[in-house]
Amino acid sequence: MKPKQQVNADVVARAISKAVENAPDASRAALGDLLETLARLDSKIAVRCSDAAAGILLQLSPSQQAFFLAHALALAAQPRVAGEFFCRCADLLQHLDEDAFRSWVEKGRAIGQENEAAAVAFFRQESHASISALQELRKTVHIAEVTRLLHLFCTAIAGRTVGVKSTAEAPEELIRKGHHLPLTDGKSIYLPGLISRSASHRENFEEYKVLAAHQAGYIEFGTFELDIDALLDHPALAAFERKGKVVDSSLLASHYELFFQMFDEPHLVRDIFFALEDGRIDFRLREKYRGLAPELAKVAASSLNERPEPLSLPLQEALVESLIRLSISGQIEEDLPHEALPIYRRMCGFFSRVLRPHATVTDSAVATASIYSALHGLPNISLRSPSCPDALREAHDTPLSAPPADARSDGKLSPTEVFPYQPVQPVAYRGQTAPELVQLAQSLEILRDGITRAEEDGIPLTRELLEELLRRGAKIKISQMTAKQLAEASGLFITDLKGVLQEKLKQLTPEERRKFAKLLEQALVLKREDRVSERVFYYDEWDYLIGDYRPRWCRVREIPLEGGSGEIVARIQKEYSALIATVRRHFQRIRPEMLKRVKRLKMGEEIELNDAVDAVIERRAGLTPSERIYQKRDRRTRDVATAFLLDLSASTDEWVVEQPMPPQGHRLPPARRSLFDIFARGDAEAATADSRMPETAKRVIDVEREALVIMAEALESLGDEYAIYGFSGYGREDIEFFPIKDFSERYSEQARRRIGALKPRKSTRMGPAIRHTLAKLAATGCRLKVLILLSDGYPQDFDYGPDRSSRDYGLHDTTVALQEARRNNIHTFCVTVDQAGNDYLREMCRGENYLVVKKPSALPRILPRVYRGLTV
Amino acid sequence: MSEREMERLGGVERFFEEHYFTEQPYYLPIRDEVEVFRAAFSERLPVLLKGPTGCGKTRFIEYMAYTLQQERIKQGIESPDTATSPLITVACHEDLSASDLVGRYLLKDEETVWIDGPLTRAVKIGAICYLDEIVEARKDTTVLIHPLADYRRILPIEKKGQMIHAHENFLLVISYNPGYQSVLKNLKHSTRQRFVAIDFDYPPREAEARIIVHESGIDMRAADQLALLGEKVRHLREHGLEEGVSTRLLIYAGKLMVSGITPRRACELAVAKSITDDRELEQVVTEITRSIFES
Ligand SMILES: Nc1ncnc2c1ncn2[C@@H]1O[C@H](COP(=O)(O)OP(=O)(O)O)[C@@H](O)[C@H]1O
Ligand SMILES: [Mg+2]
Repeated sequence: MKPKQQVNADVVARAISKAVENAPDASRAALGDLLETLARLDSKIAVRCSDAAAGILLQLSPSQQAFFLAHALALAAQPRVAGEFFCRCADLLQHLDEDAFRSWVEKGRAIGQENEAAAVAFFRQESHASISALQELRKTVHIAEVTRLLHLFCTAIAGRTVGVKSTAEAPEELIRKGHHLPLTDGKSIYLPGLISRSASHRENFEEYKVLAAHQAGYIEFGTFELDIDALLDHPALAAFERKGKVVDSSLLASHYELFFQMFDEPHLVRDIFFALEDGRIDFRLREKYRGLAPELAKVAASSLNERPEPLSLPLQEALVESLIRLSISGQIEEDLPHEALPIYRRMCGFFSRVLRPHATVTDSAVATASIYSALHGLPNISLRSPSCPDALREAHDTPLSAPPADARSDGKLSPTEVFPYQPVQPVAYRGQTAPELVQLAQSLEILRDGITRAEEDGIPLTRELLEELLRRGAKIKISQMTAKQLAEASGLFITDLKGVLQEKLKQLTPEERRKFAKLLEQALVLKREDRVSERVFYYDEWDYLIGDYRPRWCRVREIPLEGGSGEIVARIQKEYSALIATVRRHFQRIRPEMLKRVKRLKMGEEIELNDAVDAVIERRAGLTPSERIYQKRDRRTRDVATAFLLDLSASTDEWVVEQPMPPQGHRLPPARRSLFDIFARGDAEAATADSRMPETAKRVIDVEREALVIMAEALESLGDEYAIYGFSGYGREDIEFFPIKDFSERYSEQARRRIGALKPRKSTRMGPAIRHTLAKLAATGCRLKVLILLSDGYPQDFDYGPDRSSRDYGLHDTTVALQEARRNNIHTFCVTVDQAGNDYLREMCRGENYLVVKKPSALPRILPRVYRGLTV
Repeated sequence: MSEREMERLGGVERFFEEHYFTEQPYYLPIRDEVEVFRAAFSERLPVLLKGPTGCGKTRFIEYMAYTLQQERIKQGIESPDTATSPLITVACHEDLSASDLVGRYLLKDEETVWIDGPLTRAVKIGAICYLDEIVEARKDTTVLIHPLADYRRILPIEKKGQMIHAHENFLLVISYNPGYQSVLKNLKHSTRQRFVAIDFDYPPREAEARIIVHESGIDMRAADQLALLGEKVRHLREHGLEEGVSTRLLIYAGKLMVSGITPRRACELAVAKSITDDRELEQVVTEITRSIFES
């Protein structure tokens, strides 16, 4: 353990006294006690806790504070443990009752007696023991438990790949109204980190489903397809059209922005629009998903309890609030002032138009304009104001087509009476999705894809092409000015377009530019995530320090390898043609064993009845019958699946340094297990091959590649199932897994090109790569499953364990991953060119299932023998 | 000789079926498959039906065989009294060999009798011969298929030293499910290229709902919900549920519902548990079911 760096005593004392001062009266003494105790043992932790104290206690009721502080104090003998507990566990009290909380803490404390690090992980809620204990105790559902389930659920509903994440991971610019509110960016759905409102786990999960379905509903029911051109011709929008046309200041604007900009009161129009559109989505959900409807109704009903009373709000807000309530519950508000009822009824009429089975987002937009017309001229005055009835009566008299004169300016009302319109409180279960950003991001993506494709094909980007790209679903408009520039420069090449865009960017205000850059970046990020989102996998990791798994700790992304050429493989095939022929011959000798019941033999263990009968009959019929009527039973079926897992870490870039030749007879490493015979047999061949091989300098990766090519050639002739994967990555969130040839895939030109594209990358986090490969092997359903790991060193990654300089964590995790393989009946074998391999492989691979290749350039010859040894 | 006669002779497994229809098999055309098949048949081009299991391939060929025969009868080309089976189907499996298809000698009393296999029989009587899941069969069957599938239209019967020319109305139809491709079991290019391929997939929601109504007897509303379930579950085809869910399974669920089992339970039995072993995927399917059905 690192020596504790202690903090200056003054600083500590100041931090503590400030924390105590800021604490609620009732908790001061207990907090002071705790912090002083911590300070005596570990001043750094005391400072950390002091700084966090105010925020933590704020979440708790006075009685909870006392309860929580008492628990923290009980843990204080282990300050790191107490620190984690204090800083991370307060919010659990919202979700566990006190008894459950107490028994959970007790469990963590007991673990701490044995292993402090394990208790730290426990209270960070990162260890398996901790999470599973919580799961048993609580009604709360955490997003992590249901991520994959909801991801698949939403994907099924929306009909396209939709990721599910916690709102904590949402891009900052999408968070508009609060960190807990759900939202979607069109690619992923962000949901609150936990839900615990209801009394049971199941009900809370149902609420997750409702939240997810509402966001997925935006996608399924076309919220992001709002098309301004479809709206502009609509009579209801005629009054606003003038405004729509002047919008030409920004470079690109989504159709939503253009729509909202038609109206003077941005908040008012948005509130109306979302009341209608969310109402429409809920309606469509209820119609289509009848089983979900009751759950939706429940969540909706409980959201009503959190909303303000319409009567407590000024006129405009009261009417909008009534509309929202109507859209949530379908119930007509009765309590509005008598004079307000006609307007309200008109609003109800417009709303009912979106409650139709085929209503689209266009209907919501049209109804929005109608309701806006009815509302925006009203003064936002208190409902109790004496001038309220007059103002309302006046509004009725004004025809809808001409928006009523602004009541605020005609002098009848004193300005003090009129409140500025305040946006409504968001409806929690409907969240805070910003459709304009989704449209922008999606459109930028369409544009960018189109541009890149045109660029690759060398097609000049004309205005027509650009327009075509936009027509193909992009819901943005390019300003007149940009369009003109594009038109003038006809036959413009992409690079020029970039120039024009850049030029245009310069004209933007810094604010606009920042926004644009951000959106562009976001589109890129979304794109990147999209490519892989369906191919992301999570795996637990073994932390030997806490003696427990860290659940879902590692994120493995499957990434298609691109850009290699088949030439590299062709060259290897040529260079090694002699070896390939030899290996093939050897492998062909294995072949006959493949037939599972060998029939039609001239002699054998027993007579095959069908064939025998045929033979008898044929003889009677005067034909010459076949003599092949015997069969051999019990021959082993060759039912083998092998995965080759390739370390693509940066270190494979190193040049192969050959050890001086050992004297004859000791050429190969002392073989372990029965592989010995095989190596011995192949030895003479290897020697002759050696002398013929040109000894050009090679890197580890080149040798690995050669070995793979030869292996693949051999296996093609044998017909065994096999797969080749590479892995690398950086950090637990980003393990890269490259399928080169999957089990079901042919050894095609494409696969060969991928072998050519292999190159050294980043770190070597072996555990998750092994686990992912195991999952693939298990899926083959073959009887004999083998994983062969090719590496050049010990497992390592920058966050593979708390101490970067120690290999222990990674070795332990890899060892456990290999144990998991054995538990699942999968054979593993590690081949390394790391000469220090003996030191750690013995433990990692349990004794004998490994091989240190002394002479890396011999790998191509050795690998096929390893394979035979393992599978024959 | 009919299949029944053969059975009487004993010793023959029922790996094929000779179809006689008393009425038109129900088939709802999804795209232009009926026209394409007609065109192929009129040119006597062999046909490959490609598509996942349970999406209507067999039913389609039953419908086509019946319909084309009825048309011949109407035109007076065939007589209703002497009409033979228009369709012989063979479910291929890994032990199915060429002689299973062509025929073999059997013992009868002190004599040996030659019994035609289903393929020979179809070639002789002018039926459509449907080899279902052809890739499953032994490799020696390709020797038969190739000369039948090109302009020669002949079937060599090695054991009898014969060569038969196919009847005018004979047509070879094979099916192939690209879904569970494996390296070892792939349709050979040389085979594939002899056939006109017709792609099949699960029907769109409205059509599927109508099929479910017809086949299971459930009401339209429930059938529509089942079809919705099918549509949604098939969105997961790239996420671990490679085969999606077949129309056949949805029909099973419908039948269970008709017999009084609650929709949620029926779908759990017929759908969720049938299509995956992955517990989490099963749970996803269950959640989708729960979202669609009230009970
Ligand atoms: N287009 C269709 N018209 C009528 N029934 C269909 C159709 N598609 C599927 N079916 C129904 O689905 C069931 C399964 O289809 P089937 O033809 O056996 O599938 P396949 O041969 O493709 O495996 C059929 O029994 C039938 O009830
Ligand atoms: Mg390395």
